[in-house]
Amino acid sequence: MKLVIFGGFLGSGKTSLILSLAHHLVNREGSEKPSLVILENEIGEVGIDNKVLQAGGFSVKELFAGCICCTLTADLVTTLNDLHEKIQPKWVIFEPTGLAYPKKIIETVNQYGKGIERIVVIAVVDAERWEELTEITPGLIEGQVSSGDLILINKCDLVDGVALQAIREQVRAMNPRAEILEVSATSGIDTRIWGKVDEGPEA
Amino acid sequence: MKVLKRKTVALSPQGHAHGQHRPSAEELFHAPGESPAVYSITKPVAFAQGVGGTHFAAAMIRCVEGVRDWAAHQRHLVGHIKVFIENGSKDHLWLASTGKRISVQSSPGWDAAVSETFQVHFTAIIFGPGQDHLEEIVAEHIQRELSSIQP
Repeated sequence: MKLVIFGGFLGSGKTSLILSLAHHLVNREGSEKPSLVILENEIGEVGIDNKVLQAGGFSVKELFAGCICCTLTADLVTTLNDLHEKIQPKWVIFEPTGLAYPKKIIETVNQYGKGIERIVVIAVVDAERWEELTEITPGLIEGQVSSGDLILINKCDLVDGVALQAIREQVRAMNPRAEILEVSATSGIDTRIWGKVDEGPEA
Repeated sequence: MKVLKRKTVALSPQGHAHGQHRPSAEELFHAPGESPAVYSITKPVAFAQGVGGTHFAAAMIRCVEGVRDWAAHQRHLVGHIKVFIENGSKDHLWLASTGKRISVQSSPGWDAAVSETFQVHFTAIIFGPGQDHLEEIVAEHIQRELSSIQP
């Protein structure tokens, strides 16, 4: 079971990118659908992203119990272990809330998760709001970026080249080890980017 | 890019409200004073006669615009505003904004469909306002725009 975690601030484009990755995984397998489950944790009583993903034809489970900072990781581990025992999906994609620190999630999953052969963390950066968000919430943004194995600077079509270069340099300073790519989820994602998900580090 | 300066926002008196998905500012940002207000509802809507998809979408876009513009005027930071709407024939419309543009996507049948019933799922996460104030403002915008729809 391979686990892909999408980190990134609210509105950065995580759900759109997950739709793209999920379609890629389905298409890659041809007629034989891969075993794919998407786990969603959202802020608020009503889930929106889960409905968007379900409308795309994907299997989605909601993690609504508790709040993002306390019991989520326990619920996540319980759900992952349940999936491993009952469904054994090939892929699990997890979208935490836009206020979550992926590092905490990874630590818990590594310690208590069963049957996970690989974890890939994709950090999604909102290029359009980068300067604004790094000013207002620097700790959270750095925490999200620094956890990524792959960093996708999304909405790159909405900023100019100079701004994009500045973002890239700041992101690199926060995370020297990750691969950094510029994308626009609304314009379509080069499927070679999703090929990199298979090359992530072993859990 | 222009650097935006925002006023400091008082920490929510609820602080770390576990049952309402509202962790404290320190846990979120390592910086006090930035706890988001969250408005999140599902609202069933019914009309005596059918309403076209484009007509309903226009009203919901005005609603998101209204909340977005209010937040900008108050210098609040929009986490996100997201709306997912299903009509009676299970076509859907998806709106999203982070305080700038409004992204609008729909299923292929949405525009042509005419429906008497809709389910509106609406979530707004905004940093700055009090919880009660946000609820009041968003509910007002939703009600105003739904009331403007004439089948």
